[in-house]
Amino acid sequence: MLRIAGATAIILGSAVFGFKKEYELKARRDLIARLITAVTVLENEISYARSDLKSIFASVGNSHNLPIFEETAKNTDTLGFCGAMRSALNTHGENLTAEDKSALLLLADNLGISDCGSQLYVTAHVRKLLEASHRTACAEYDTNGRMYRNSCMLFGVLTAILLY
Amino acid sequence: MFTLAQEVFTPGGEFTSALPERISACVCKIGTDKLAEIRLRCGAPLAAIRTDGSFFVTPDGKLTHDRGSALNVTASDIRRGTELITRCSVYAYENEIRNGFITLPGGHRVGICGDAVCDEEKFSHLRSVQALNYRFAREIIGASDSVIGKITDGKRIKNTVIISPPMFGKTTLLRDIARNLSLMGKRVSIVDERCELAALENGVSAFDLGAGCDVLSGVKKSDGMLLMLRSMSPDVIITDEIGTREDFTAVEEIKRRGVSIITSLHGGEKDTADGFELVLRLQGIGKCYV
Repeated sequence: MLRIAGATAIILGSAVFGFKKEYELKARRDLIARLITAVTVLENEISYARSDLKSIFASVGNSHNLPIFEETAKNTDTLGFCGAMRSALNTHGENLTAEDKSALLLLADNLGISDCGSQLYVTAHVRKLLEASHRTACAEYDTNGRMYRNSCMLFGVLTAILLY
Repeated sequence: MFTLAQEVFTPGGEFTSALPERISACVCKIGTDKLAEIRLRCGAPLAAIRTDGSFFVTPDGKLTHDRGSALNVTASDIRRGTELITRCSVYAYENEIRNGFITLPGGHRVGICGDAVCDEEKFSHLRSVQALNYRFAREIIGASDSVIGKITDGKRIKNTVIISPPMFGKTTLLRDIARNLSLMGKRVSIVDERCELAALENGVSAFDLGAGCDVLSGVKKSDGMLLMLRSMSPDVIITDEIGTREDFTAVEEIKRRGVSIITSLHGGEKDTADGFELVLRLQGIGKCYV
């Protein structure tokens, strides 16, 4: 009985680890996709409506399920835009790589401080960086996601067999 | 200019929340009752212009004439102030900055100056901000009660120009004239180029303008006046601080269509160059009271 329970625990633990790794890759891929959409909306709002950053980030964050944007909007009044976005990235950027974060930090450092033309140049540049990150994230998920899940489960089964 | 004031409404919340935090704390201590302006100059003492004189403000929120004991405004105060008045979105206020001021919710106005960058000899933007001048907007209900009888006999509204130096309450008087005429059942069209006369926010005015006022804000006065003339069939068009050739041409067109106009001009005397020209153009239609 104890052996069965131990083997099950090993297999389950390995499977959870594999699924977790796969989920992280999937979450990053999906988060970057949502960020690209959000930056496109941001570009439109800046060029057409000339809305202020706080309201754009609040509405985009809410409609695209982006806590980074929502948190930024919430803290803009107290921390300033740059401080608010940096703080939001620290709090909610756990699924992003250093590369993704550095692209978003470009937004933090450059949005809101210059004229419309310069703002659109920055957002277009950040969108391109995010698109490159998204391609990498998709490739990583396609190649590594399934591998992590299957190999971890296999590792658990093999370990259980070897031990018992 | 006018002395009758039945009720004074001072929407101070929007004003102090647009000041950098440590300046705001001082201004809250001195109070906003008699406040007309708060001047922030980089590296200079914090100045408060009140109806009872000009003062400096100390770090503990007291008024003084001693520069040495006053709170010194730093570059980071100016930066924070700029962030707050532009809501961290300079691009959204490009045109306002080119015009030299930004209007806050509540009709308060912040003048901006600094190191300008020109594009083909035209002012493009500010490289850095050196000074901010926060001008406090007031609503004085009843400010126009003593002059409304001279402007209208109940049926016809006379063309009127209000001429005074800055800070004598031209805008406050115009706003109350609009309210009074609106209450009389007149169709009043307000052209508010600088968003300070009606101070619209999300389509709602921060001031009491009565039920008969249509407001067009943020558009060039000369274009706005003609647009309102065509679209809203007003009894009277009210606008603030006209002065360009286009404005005068628009005024002539409005006069030709038989619609009345009430406006204001900067100037100390009735015969200042611009005022005189406008008075001549309106001659025979109405009178000007300075």
